Amino acid sequence: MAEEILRAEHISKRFGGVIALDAVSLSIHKGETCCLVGENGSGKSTMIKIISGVYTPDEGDIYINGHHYKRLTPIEAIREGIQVIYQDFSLFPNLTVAENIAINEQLASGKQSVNWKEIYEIAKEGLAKINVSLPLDAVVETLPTADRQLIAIIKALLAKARIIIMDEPTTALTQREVQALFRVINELKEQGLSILFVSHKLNEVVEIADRTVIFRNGQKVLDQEARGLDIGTMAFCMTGRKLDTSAIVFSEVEEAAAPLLRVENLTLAHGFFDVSFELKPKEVLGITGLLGSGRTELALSLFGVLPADSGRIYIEGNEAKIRSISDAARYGVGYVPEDRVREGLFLEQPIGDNVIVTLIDRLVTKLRLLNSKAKKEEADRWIKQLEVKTPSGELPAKSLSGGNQQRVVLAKWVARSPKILILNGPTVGVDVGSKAEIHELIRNLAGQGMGILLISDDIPELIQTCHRILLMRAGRIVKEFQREEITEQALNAELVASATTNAP
Amino acid sequence: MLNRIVKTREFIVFLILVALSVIVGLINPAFFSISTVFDTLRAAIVYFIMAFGVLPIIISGGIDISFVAIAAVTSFSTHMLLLKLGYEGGTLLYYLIACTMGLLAGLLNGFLVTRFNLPVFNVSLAAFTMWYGFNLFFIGATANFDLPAGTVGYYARFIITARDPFVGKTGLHVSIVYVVLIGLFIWWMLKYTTIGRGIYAMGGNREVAIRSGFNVPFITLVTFAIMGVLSAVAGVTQAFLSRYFNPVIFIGQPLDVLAAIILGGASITGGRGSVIGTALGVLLIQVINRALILTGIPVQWQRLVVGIILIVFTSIPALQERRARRIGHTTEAA
Amino acid sequence: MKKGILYVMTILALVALLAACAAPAPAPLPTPTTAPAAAPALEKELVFASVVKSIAFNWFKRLETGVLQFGQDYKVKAFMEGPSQVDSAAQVAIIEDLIAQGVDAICNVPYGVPENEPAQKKAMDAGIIVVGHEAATAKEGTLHYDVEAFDNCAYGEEMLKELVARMGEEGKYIQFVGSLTNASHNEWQDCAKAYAEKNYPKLQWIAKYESKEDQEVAYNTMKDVLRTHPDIKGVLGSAAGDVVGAGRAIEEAGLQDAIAVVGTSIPSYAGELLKTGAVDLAMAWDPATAGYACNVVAYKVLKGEEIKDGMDLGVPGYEKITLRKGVNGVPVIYGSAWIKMDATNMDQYPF
Repeated sequence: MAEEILRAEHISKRFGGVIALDAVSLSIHKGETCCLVGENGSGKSTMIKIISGVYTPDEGDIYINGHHYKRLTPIEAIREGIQVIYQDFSLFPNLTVAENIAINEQLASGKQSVNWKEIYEIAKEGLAKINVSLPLDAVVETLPTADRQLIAIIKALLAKARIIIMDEPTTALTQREVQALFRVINELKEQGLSILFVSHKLNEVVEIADRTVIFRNGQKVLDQEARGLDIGTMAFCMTGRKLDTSAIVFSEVEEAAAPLLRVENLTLAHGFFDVSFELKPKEVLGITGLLGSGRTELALSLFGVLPADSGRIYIEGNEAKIRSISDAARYGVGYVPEDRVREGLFLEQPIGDNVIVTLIDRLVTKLRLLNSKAKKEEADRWIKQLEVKTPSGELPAKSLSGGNQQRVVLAKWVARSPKILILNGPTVGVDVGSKAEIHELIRNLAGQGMGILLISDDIPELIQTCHRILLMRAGRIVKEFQREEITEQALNAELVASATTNAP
Repeated sequence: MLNRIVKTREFIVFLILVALSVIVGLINPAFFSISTVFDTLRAAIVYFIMAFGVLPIIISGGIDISFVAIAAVTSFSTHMLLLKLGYEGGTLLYYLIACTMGLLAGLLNGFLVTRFNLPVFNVSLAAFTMWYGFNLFFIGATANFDLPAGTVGYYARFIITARDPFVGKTGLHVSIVYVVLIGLFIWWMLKYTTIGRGIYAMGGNREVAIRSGFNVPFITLVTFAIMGVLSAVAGVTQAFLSRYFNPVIFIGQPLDVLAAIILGGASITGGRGSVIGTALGVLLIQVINRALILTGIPVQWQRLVVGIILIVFTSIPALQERRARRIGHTTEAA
Repeated sequence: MKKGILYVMTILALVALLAACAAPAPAPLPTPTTAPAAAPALEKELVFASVVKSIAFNWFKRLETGVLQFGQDYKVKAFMEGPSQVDSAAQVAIIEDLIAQGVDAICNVPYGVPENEPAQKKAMDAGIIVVGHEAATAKEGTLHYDVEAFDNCAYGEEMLKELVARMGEEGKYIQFVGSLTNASHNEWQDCAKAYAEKNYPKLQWIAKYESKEDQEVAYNTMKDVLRTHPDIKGVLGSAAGDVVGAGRAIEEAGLQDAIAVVGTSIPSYAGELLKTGAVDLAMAWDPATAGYACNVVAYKVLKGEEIKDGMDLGVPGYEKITLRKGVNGVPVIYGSAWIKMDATNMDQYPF
């Protein structure tokens, strides 16, 4: 085994009465990618903060490059070459790529004047380190998330990083961008850097990890070579229960039933072209494709956010004119967005209010005042039905974990009893345990007679929920998979084919 | 390169400025005269100086309105002091005393902001009220027309003169030189000093600026010091140009200056803004003011026109985002 | 942010108001045309108090000279008091104090009209004569009378008459106001314009411009007016600097004889230009005569004299008063107490 750069021994950390870490050890070796996996609250964030010097452990020792630390400060951690890439990337959105890359060096030099030639040289040098090319003059806020992440990585490298810690780095990336990130990680590894990759997307962990460490409830439950470790085992370690993917019960779609939704030749300029399909009651129809394939635009069109330019939509056999969100709601179409924080939830407002917000017109009294008793009853009913884990519906939505927030967003639309529910990436950023429960929920909703359109590029998710899957490429539907044809390999092959032919 | 210039906000403002000038000139040919150019520049001088002074604060993410009050209190109290001492010399001493006062007044704002962590706007609001009140209560409530002998002819000290058949002799006033020097200084400071980049960094993401190791309190003090000094320069210059000292000078004009800065591409939330854009914004507002007189459009429209242009401009980024959304590049990455 | 703008606006409005109050400064002592022939023999000396918004303003120091003059002329103990800073609560406290002292009359210049009403009523209930100044909107029963230097509309019409006397009954004219939101300025100019439309149909109104209380703005505006309307013949100003700025532009163009400039101003602002003729007439009013008149009204009420429309108060500008009911019921006395200054008489007004 390669040289050990960092060893954290018997680390314990308590917050008040809660034990976040209980005598956990973690070591990182030179040139390896170590994946740290765990559900929310398992202690992985606490561990990151301890080895980057943000938190001081209650007990335990830290050894970095052979130096022993009882208390590690952030400055010492940086000096030892530990760099954390947080989810916000710590960039200046208004400055150019070059300046963002070079700014730390500029500050460290203590110079009061700025030499732009030097800044560009530093930036070029930085890009060369990971062998990528980015427009140096571009303002960072105009770049996609993946590029911002690369800049953050370059900044870490220029700061003489020996260990780069990436906290949920793929949350906001598309599949193709994830692949690009993995290439960069492998390159770093070859240069002798060590990566601590923190994630709960198990399929990614399988792909990138040299060694996998799994935390559960503040304890380390697994630490072994990644080779030979499968998703099922990891999921079991994470949640403590076995996820059974074979025994899934799909609802029976009646072949003869009239379609709930029929779309004919729907077209939106720059979005999608000539899209036609049907959705039957009790059916979950998956729509997948890469970035720019038009899948999100299609969903937004059906929900009235981006009304289509031409084509027809029929709901229960009658033509529906969907020009706005309120049209869509009137026709019984519900939409659960991907970015629940930005589009779906009022984070500061109580959970209960978030649930009933789409029902408000049904809960007003004769005087147009809100009936607060009815409101509470309705909210509580849905919180219970969708198993949102909260002591009270009065707490703000931001107090919930990602998975539970997603349930609230679901509850919000399900409470309106839509005929058709469009889900866009329903489990993005949700841990494995919650994910399985949300999938169960989706299947149950379909079983009750709803038609569900599931937009996702998470292949296991599609497999576990969909009756049929439509693959989109460059705005068109290029392939349809029937239930029996759906396998991970087949879907993957088609997505990769898309990647090579579908220019962004 | 050319392609990038064409896409900037500065270039759009420049185009609007040219288009507006052409329209006004077509309606009233008197607009196309060198004397109009000189008069427009002369009227813009103090607005250039004030706008350059407050621009760094805006870029750093603050909003200030106290600069007009600092211009008033420094110029008026300098004048009343020198009047009492029987000073009969030139303009230099005025600028020196007023700039010193301006520096102190600016630093006072900066001190309150950095030491007590108060919002920039609240401090500036307090300073605005306080300095005008100070002038009225302690220095004097009436304008003063007694200029020292050495400064009397200053208002008509032109670099080049022009004769106009309708308005008589006019010219390019010497103080335009200060405007150019100040503009160059601010441009250099923003682009080529670590403090200048820190100003942008603060406006882009204050937290990250602190984390990266910028001396944010010091940079804040610098921005306020610049604002204080340049406000004083503007106040004294305006007094000499108009040949009187007014305790409530500029009281109705802070929003005109802020509007010019925003028109020039600065973001009210910080992080963006440039000297050239600000200069163009100041000129645009001046030309709009003149355009309404020269074309006979009622003055009531002036604010409406400026307001509409501001709304259009501030919505450009939002519209671009919407377009990008339609084309489908941002939603999935989000 | 929206709230922030609102704050800014409010503060701007407040400070502009202060500035407007303070702008046209001192004027000469009034020379009473009809002081009482013989000082009335009295058993006990009468005590007349005047209360103002704040003694910090030159404006009210000037008013005080009128009050003291009244005391001399009428053999009454007359004095002025006021808070050191504008503050209704402090002003009310002073009135309460005066009630306790048992003065005979109070002339009050309230900062906040409604805030002063209860104290004024209390004084009236205590048998004190209470006359207001700049309080035409007071509620009925809270003042015996209110005295105003002039009716804003009449002042505007007077300005226009003076302009016509200098530019003739035809030709183009423009107006300046300090700001489009200044109520007095706009009332003067709107009444002037209405009067012109009715009586001088050949006058051509061009526009009402905003000087932003800044003579440099008036100067620049006037230059562009000259470019656009080379045949302009008249200018009306409202803020003290309006005619100065416009006059300077006119002088630089050498048009001082071709264009008539009339407006509110004072010799310390417009003196030079009045001499050269670039500004033809400055009009203003004098707080001293207002202070004097306010006390005279109180004196007459105390003596049981009836105040009638058209009567002579014996104070310059108040020789033929107009009596009207104010908007909220208080009887308001309007004088015609404007003063007119040009090159020939400006030396009599050294302020």
